[in-house]
Amino acid sequence: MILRSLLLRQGRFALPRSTLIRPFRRYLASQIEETYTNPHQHQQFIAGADGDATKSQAATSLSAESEVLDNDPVALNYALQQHSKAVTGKIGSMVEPHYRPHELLSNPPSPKDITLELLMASQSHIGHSTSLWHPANAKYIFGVRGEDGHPIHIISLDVTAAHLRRACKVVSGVTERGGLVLFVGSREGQARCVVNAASMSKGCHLFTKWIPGTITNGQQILGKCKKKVVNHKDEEVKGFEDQLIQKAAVKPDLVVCLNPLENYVLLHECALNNIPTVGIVDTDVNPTWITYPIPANDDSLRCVQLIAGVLGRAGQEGQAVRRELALTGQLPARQDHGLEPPAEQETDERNSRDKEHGRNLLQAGDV
Amino acid sequence: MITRRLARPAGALTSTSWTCASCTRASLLPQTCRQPPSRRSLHHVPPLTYDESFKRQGIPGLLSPDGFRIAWTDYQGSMVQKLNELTAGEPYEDAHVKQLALQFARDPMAASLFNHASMAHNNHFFFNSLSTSPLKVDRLPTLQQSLNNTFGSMETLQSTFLDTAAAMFGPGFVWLVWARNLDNPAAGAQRRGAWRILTTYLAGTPYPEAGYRQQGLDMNNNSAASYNSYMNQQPVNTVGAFGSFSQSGREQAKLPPGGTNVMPVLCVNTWEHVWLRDYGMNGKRRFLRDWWDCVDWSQVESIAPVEAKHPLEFQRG
Repeated sequence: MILRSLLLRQGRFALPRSTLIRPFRRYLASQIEETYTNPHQHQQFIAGADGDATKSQAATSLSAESEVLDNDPVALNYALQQHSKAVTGKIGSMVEPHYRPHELLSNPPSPKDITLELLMASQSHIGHSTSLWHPANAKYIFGVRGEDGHPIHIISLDVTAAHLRRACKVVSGVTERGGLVLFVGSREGQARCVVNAASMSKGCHLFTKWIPGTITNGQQILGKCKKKVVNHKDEEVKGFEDQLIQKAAVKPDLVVCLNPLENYVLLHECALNNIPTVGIVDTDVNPTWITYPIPANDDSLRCVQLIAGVLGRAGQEGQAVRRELALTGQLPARQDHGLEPPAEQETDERNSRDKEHGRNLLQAGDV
Repeated sequence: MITRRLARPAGALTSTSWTCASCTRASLLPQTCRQPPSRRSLHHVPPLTYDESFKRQGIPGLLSPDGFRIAWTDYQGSMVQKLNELTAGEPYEDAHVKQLALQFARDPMAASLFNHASMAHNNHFFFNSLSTSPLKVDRLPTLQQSLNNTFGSMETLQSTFLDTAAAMFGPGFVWLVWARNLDNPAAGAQRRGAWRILTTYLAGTPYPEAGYRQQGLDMNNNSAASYNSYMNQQPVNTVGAFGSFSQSGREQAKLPPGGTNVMPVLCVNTWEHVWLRDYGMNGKRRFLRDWWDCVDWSQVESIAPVEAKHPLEFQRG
């Protein structure tokens, strides 16, 4: 398993813990109030739903030339090629907006874009054969479909949407408060969306087998991983190396699991350590394993990428809020890291010693 | 309860041989007007910036509302409809028109697809250069200077362009293109190039990536020798004609990756259906003259590449 180094996220200076002022909805709103257009509404497949799509291309505002270095021929060639593509590439007909699989990874939808039509188009309502179901999922199931021999359960899309929105709130709430989210998806094809979601939420990702004991036996398995201290602006702060040697690897504050059936050990360890979990619960999955289940189809890659993308966007929004608050001086992060601020003389001595001896920190090892 | 089966068993959907007495006659009649399968077509007629105005009062100084309807609304509609039919169900059904034209230029079995894609592209390009209040070229000094560097004067450009178009027998397009010099420029210098006038008969395309279907010559009165001299590259002896050390190979190597050496900025559609209704059978020259006065040079200026608008000293391409 390759686990990126878990990082300490505590701030350097211990401010008195202030009551978190919950920001208003419009706290981060820009000056110009724009009507929100759902970029994924073409997947709704309702006639007339996006009636203005034909006019969206009418404004042929040709983009201005970007500032290019005058003396770099490669840059000039590239600029010409981009200009030519932009100006002549779409001339001829207007192609209707349609589903393009790579967009789930390059531009995932946000929690605002969750609609029943989008979920249905992503095959998230398709459950497993009725003979394979877990009865605890009865409240998530809409009904049975299929021919006489092979009926399957259909998951209620309104239930899916509600649970997915709740999970988005959980993820953005955790990231708003400086929490660490771990995205896990070990099935084939889930690696990219897991990495994307983790990078948007500034969390950690895992797309291979979870090594049992990574949380419960963390001091052994993650004993040699690299740790660092970052301040409220996410800048690394030096001076804590001695203290970090003794510190255990940090545990995630939230775990998002895209295939709970294969990762039951991970979920059990999270439960033992009071770590809340978010997970995609298919009709054959035990929903009691997961704190915030999302009833959906875990076998469809499109559905999984959609859910991972939406949760990643939620984490991104939470990170943006946290950054805004940090820049104005309000620090929502917990300050119970137990680190002592290094003294000034010790810092100078250490810096000079570093330059003389070239001491290296412990490096992360591939476990 | 969730596990209860649906009230609608599968058997109700299958047709049975029994029909009730009241609908015996109706059900036994053959289904003549069957509803077409609901399928969403991916290509639509693109909106023009001024098409609302054009629909109501035509293109001022060029086409009447009826003429515009024939040349744009009906014709582009038929091109798009044919494109939808030809690409339905195929993996390239959502590709843009230019990409279809470039992809299928080399495939003679897909000639119909190329023709319709290229015509749709060229027609849209033509109508994009028209507007309700066109800007004259003398209001754009850098562009005018750049054109003068190649042609000497705007009058020469106009006469060359329109004479070329008038001399073409049969339908086609005439393009004003910026042709880049393939030699890499000296360090610190702009890549040189010049303006050129390009003819494409029928549904030919000016892009060199689809060079097989440029259709720049009327092959009815050209021989293989004249075609070769037009293409200006085919040696009699094919030894050394291909590969990285041949002339074509060396020229190809000079192209930047993904780059093109020709960039069209303006075109005129000389297909008869565009001007026949408003100008009559003998009205081609009058149409071309009127068209030149209606060209919106601001659109040309925005399409033209940056290196074409920084004129160097007088140079012929």
